[in-house]
Amino acid sequence: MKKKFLKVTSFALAVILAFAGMYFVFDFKYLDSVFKMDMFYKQEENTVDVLVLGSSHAYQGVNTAVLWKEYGIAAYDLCGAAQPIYNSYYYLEEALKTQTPKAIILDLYTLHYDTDYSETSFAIKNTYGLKWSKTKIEAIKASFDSEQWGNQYFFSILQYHSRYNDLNKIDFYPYQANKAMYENHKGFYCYFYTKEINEADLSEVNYANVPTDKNVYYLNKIIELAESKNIPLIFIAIPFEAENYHEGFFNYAKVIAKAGNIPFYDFLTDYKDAVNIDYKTDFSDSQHLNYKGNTKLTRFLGEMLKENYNIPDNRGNEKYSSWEKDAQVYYNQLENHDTSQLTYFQAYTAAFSNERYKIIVTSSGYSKEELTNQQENTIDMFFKSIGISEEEYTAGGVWLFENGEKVYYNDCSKSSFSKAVELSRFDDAYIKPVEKQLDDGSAVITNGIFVNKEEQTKVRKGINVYIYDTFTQSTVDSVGYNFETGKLVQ
Amino acid sequence: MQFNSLHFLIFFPVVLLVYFFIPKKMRYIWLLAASYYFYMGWNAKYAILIAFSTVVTYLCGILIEQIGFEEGKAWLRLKRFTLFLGISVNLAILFLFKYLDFAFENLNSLLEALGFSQIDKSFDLLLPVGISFYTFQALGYVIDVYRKNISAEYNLFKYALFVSFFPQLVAGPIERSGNLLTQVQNVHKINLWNYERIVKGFMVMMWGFFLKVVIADRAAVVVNEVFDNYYNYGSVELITGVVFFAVQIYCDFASYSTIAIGAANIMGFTLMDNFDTPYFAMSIKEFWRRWHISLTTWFRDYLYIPLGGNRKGKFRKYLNTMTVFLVSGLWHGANWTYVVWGGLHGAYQIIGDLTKKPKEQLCKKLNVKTGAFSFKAVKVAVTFFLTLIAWIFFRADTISIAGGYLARIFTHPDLWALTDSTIYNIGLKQQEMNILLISIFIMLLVDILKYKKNIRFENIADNQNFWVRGAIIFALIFTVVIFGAYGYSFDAQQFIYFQF
Repeated sequence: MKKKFLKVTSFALAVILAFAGMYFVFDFKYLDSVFKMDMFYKQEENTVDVLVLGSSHAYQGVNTAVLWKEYGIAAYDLCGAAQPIYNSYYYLEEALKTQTPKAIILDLYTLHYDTDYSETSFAIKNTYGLKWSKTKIEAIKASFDSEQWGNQYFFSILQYHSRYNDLNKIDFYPYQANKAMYENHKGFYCYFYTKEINEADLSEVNYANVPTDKNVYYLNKIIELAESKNIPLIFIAIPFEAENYHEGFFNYAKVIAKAGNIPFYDFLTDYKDAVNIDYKTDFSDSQHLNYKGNTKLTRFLGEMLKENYNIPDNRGNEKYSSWEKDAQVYYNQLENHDTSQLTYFQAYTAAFSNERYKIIVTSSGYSKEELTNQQENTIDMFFKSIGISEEEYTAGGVWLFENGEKVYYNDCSKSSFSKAVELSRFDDAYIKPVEKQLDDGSAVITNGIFVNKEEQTKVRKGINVYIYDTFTQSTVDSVGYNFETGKLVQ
Repeated sequence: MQFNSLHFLIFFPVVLLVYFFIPKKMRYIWLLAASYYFYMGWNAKYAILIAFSTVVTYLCGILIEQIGFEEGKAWLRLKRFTLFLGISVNLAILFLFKYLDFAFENLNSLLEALGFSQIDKSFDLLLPVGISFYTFQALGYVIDVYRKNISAEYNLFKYALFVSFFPQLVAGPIERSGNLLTQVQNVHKINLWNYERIVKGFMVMMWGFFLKVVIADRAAVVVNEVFDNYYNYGSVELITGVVFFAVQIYCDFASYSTIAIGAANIMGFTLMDNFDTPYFAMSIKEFWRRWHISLTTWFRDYLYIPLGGNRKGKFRKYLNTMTVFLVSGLWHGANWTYVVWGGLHGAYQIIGDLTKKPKEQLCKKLNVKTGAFSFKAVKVAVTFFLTLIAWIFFRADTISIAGGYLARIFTHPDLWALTDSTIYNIGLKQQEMNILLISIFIMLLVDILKYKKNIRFENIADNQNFWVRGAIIFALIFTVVIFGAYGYSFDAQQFIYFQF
């Protein structure tokens, strides 16, 4: 009997452990929603000074790094993809349990939603991260049609068990599989690319669209809750490729805002000129501001917050060190972006002193007769400023730089040369000779840089520079200097 | 409530916990309460219906037994009349709830054809789940008492438990009073704390869940896609559709019985085996000895034999066979498609019987080794093929759709569908399809073991170490939990058989 009891117990234990493991792996970790709530719980009590609620417009629009670096404001974008007003309300309710912000910014983009329930995946995203409490139960009731599967939602395994289809590395490692980058996350997410979008003239929209009863109800609840806690509320409408009817809904909110004495910053119309958003350069897609756009918008908000609200500058305050670290993430990304935008070859030498970068340089070597003086100068200056001797660079070969120092050189004189470089836990580079056909039909053997099997080498005869950021765990840039043309190849 | 629901996941452990610890004399009361709660999980009103059937058959049983003690023709007539009354009342209820709509529909078509105005049926009755199952079980009891195979049960609650025993209440196996009622009567004698029995019962249940949520519900996606849009598909997809339906209906139906058997086993009850590797049958006749055994034997004992069985000459035998299968078709659902399905199976058997001798002679003449594996394999394949044709009618919504489906298999050959990965584009993504194919393969292995070596799933690990059995259960739990079709991204499929 005792033995059987032991057997059953150990089996049960194994099953429980496996369930725990399964939960860890299968659990939702969406960066655009669930993760923001997960991380919010990790904030020290009463440190968040500005709470931002709303959709992706807000978490890509309100740049917490700029707010911190330039104004010392500790803000958190407690937003979610397509977050409906009712979810913003429950997020606010949850946030106020541990934080007492000095201002609440509410993005009103989703006010135009005309259905009472979002598509299931969005409903999951905007409720799943909440810890179990009355708030979460209420949030679930508000987010899911109970007829369909409302009561089933209370068992989270019903949602995540079928994720075996899309598990990836972030499911197996905490903090989105990049702890350094995400352990101080403040909800802000940034795109660095640019897309030109259409700018509609909304100034003529002089009517108001009435939102659904549910949206009006929850908008009023948000106002009441903020009022009861004596926290100033600020409405914003963030620029995107809007149409007239969107503005109609914002107009409705303006009436409510006026009645409740709530400032409404409509950056699509009233405050358009104040932020000076350029629809050619400041967007990453039709819906979201990019780094340029969100910096403009955030600077406006920073000034406005400083001027009108009693928000302390917490830079240097030990309690707020996580904001400093999080801001650094953005500025690192910005630096990477700037590096990738360089337009002449010598400028890349600056990257070699960056301690975050691992840089692989390959050169095919040359004889002086092949080059023009100007080309020779470029090459000389480049190699000398990164500390490589003339003997090495005329011979050519492969160099590896880490922590701002040269750590490896091989002249590749042996035909059997190859070199593996671990860039990070998930990315590997492999350098090996590849035979290349030249334009004139002859073949040369040059060293190819392969990152995760994909070739990064830009030129066959010339210098290749591959830059990897160990912090963001991503490729910063890969460029070449072509000996035949003397040009930078991006 | 359904077996594959959260409701059941909570219900069953609670039932077990109380059942294992309450006084022995209270067990049947507790199980009866649990069974009614289980049944009312669908619709509380249904309980009235099953209670009514229970009381009627309970009284009939006692009356028939009491009358049976008296001598004389008049008494015998009264006994017969009581039996007739009991059967008719129950069949009338069944007809009212299950076939009235169907009858009206057909009557109206007839009236229309004859040029009369149609009758308007102004009320709508919801078909109570499992009504065909428990009605047959209760009728079986009354007939058994009439035949003096068993004595009547005088404890209403024990009898009610026999009719409503929750593991097999809504989808079988349809139990006999000789088996289940006896066990109910002796429920206080069961030694509950039998480790081996409990573990095996649990394994059987998990295997049932595997068949249901991993195979049947996944195959259903392909089947629904192909049957709903048959006019868009060629023969390869259509054949795939019907083969998957054969798998789906087998796994679905067998899973219910399997879960029922396992659940009952944990509680110390032994239910009859309902499916015995039916697709390995070498003739349609054999198929029916292996498919839904509890229903087949019910029809044999309570319909075929009373009709005269095979004792009244060939013609009557064939007539009886056809009658049984047409009725069986109708039992599965109030639609002509089921009648055709039953009719096909009846015809298969009659033709099989008629051609038996010529076939044997032909084999002898051609010197065919009938014992060879290849010969048996062909027979299995032919039998499977015949069942497939019948399944098309079973699954299709109307006879004309079934006809169209069947015809298209021959008129639209598309062999290239085998090579251009069309199979991954009929409802399931590649990964899901692969999971399905692997799961079917596992099921096939388990069935082969049962067919060839007579080793049941729960006994596979009998002589192995604790760790092997543990690993099997462990793997089964997590296969069901992860790959089961439930919750988000899958519609929880209703057990197909509930409405039958």
